[in-house]
Amino acid sequence: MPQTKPPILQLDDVRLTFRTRAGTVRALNGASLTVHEGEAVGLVGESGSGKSTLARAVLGLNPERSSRIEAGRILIAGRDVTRLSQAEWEAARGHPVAMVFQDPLSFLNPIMRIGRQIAESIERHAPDRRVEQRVGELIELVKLPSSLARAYPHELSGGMRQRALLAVALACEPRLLIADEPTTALDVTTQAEILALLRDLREKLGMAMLLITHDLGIVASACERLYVIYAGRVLEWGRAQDVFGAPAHPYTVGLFHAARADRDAQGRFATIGGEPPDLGETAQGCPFAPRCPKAMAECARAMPHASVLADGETHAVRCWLYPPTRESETAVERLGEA
Amino acid sequence: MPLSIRECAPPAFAMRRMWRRFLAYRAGVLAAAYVLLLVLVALATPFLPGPDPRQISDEVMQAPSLAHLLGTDELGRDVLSGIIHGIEVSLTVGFAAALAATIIGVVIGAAAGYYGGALDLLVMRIAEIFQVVPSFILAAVIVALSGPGLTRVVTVIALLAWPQVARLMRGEVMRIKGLEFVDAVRCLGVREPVILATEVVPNALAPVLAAGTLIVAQAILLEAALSFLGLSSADLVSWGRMLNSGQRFLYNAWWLSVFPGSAIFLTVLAFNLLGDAIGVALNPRTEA
Amino acid sequence: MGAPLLSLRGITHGFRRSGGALVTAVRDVSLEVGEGETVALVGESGSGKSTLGRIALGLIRPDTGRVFIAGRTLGEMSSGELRRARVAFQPIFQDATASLNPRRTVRDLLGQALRQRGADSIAELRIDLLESVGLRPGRVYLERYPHELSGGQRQRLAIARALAMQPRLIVADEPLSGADVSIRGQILNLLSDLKKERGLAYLMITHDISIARAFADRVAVMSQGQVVEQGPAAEVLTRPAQDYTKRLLAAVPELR
Repeated sequence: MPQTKPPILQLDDVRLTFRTRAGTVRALNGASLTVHEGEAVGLVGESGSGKSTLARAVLGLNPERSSRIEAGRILIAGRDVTRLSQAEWEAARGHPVAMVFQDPLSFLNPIMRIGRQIAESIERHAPDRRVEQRVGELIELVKLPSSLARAYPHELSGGMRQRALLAVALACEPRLLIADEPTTALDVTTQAEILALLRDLREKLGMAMLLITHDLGIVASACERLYVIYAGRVLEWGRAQDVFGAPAHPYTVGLFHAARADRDAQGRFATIGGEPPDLGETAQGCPFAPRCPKAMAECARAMPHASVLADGETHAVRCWLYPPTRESETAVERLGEA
Repeated sequence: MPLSIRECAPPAFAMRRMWRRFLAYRAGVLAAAYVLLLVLVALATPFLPGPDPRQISDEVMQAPSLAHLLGTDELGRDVLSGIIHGIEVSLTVGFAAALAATIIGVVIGAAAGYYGGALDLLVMRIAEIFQVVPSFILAAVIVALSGPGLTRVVTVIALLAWPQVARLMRGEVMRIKGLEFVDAVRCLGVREPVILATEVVPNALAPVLAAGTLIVAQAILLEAALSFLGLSSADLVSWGRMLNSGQRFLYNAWWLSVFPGSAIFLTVLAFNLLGDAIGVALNPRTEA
Repeated sequence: MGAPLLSLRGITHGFRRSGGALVTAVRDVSLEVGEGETVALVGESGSGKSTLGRIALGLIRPDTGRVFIAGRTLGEMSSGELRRARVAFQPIFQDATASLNPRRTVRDLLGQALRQRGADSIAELRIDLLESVGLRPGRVYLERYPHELSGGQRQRLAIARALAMQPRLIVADEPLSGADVSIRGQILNLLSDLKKERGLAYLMITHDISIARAFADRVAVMSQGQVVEQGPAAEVLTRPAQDYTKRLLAAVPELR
């Protein structure tokens, strides 16, 4: 299924490091990812995988002093934002990307009424709009009772706060919404409501979404395509139905088993052995190799190029179990740039 | 994500980070060096050359010169020697009072915070009474009534200062007693007083250390003020006392006031800065 | 079969909010855990399941209702007896970091528990405990502080400390929520091994239906302070009788 719509976000082999006193931490090791207009994409990873760093890099939210994009490009709607300074980010009005976070409380002003915060967001984005009416529309859009415009953040429940933060984000009329673990702090029933709301909003507004999560179940219910990230590298990506139907990378396979609490014939729960990697070390080969049950000699030596899997041009993996062919490399290029 | 990056840090990182936060607070490092110098001089005082500060001579009211670097007073006593010998009094009072106040405050604050209820209410009301009464006036009254003496001065200062420590301790203990590791130890069947002493208090001491250092500064200042009013024993060489006798000659012998005054000012400032630096170092949320 | 290991009868408990209003966290709950049995207490945050867990551990004294340990009420016991009886129930918390005193080394943490139990040859037992939770070889961990361990290792250490008391019941409050997906299987395997080897019973407090399904013999579903449904895990989680349970199951994104 070739994508017909143009990309709203493109990350091209992005390498990002943090300088810490303990040394350099390679948070992103050549991560590539594409989100097309109107598309819902999941970015799945565990803690320390670099998934939040990636999201923050898109909005220039990583600390300017300690983080650096060493290589690669980030394009938003075709515009290169890789080297924007803090000041240039602030000047970038009408930015087509907005973000919501796991903990809305740290992004809502505790002493300002919800309605006022939405209004400020509108004024920043489009000062000429009739603000009051627009606030009402947005509150209705995220399905909050209109009376809550006069409430303060601490008076709201966790789910309502997430809706309020969504309204603030939507005030900028984003073409891409990045949602970083938006439901992790919520109960399952509230989580289901927020996910339904996100689906609904995307349909109504034709907005693309990049959903960052550790929970494969959420991706299954909310995303069309997904990327699996580990130690700052994307190991596998493709249409959700393809990846879920036939996960290829041993890490993805392990994740699926673990998430389902699957058991083997002896009644043992599926595990991924070992510990997540130390990002301070220079990883030459595949970062998952030390934990991989199918690791081979090649794995420690180098990271393979992507290979497109047989089931159409919608599912690719970087793993020596699936050696890249010449044809598939060109196919990957098409898949990324389409 | 910054959290997980910190987790990659090598083991000894937390300790080193504490050091680094302390060193980054430049003024604190300077203050620490100054305090260290004071302590060394105080320890070496008996072995230092120079006249006895109580030694009367004919060279009265001499301005600073090579023979008397900081001049002499109306009885011909050497001011530099007085200031050096005064260090001992100031530091003794400061450290003793701060130590006593900290011990009282830690014990009372920990008990109040941990057991709560009527004990807490009572302790906190008493602490409030001590805090609203102007401490200097109370100290002056007590010393005036009971007579001068270093021990009395220390006792009075400690009595006035413990509520600061107790309040801080109480807050920390209340926070820590609700943490899961305390519950986990409770489930091991450990008795409550043991839990308080071995699990809660050690984790609550950090901010108290900073407060204790600030109390040293307050105590030195209070002692100087009491001496200045003549409320300390006459045979002690103390900065406050020197200032007291010197201020009568402020217009014709400025060195009698300026040098002891500066000693008090610098020392109080140093302990305040040191307390701040310790507070900064022990607070993991400040980034160096 | 004798009396159940833990029996909660008609437990009601409330908290006073800072505003002064009384909030009833647990309302007339009765629940039993038998020897060697695993009971999952499932519910959303604010359903009262953690409060009930703390009542089972004796950390909270309920306003009304009775707690039986092996058939005896807590009220019948002297405070010494109570302390000894309570030791048979050990907690595992969600956040292993918060459940370990940051100033104690592994040696210290386990030694404290073993001494408390009155064990002999503490040094050997310490190593045995570490290795029984998969921290091998045990001696390399002895001098480490909790913050020098990984998340999975910390949770293992917390489990080792609980085992030091030779418990019969482990009250595990969301033991997997703090762990990454790839670590969950390791911890689940460890818990089920311990169940087999030592005949441990579990009261597993969780919001995660997949864990309840994989691990529990019986399930109790809590909502707004009450147990709305309880029964064999297979039954409750496949053919729920109550609307609330149905809603809860429907809300979990499926991964099949």
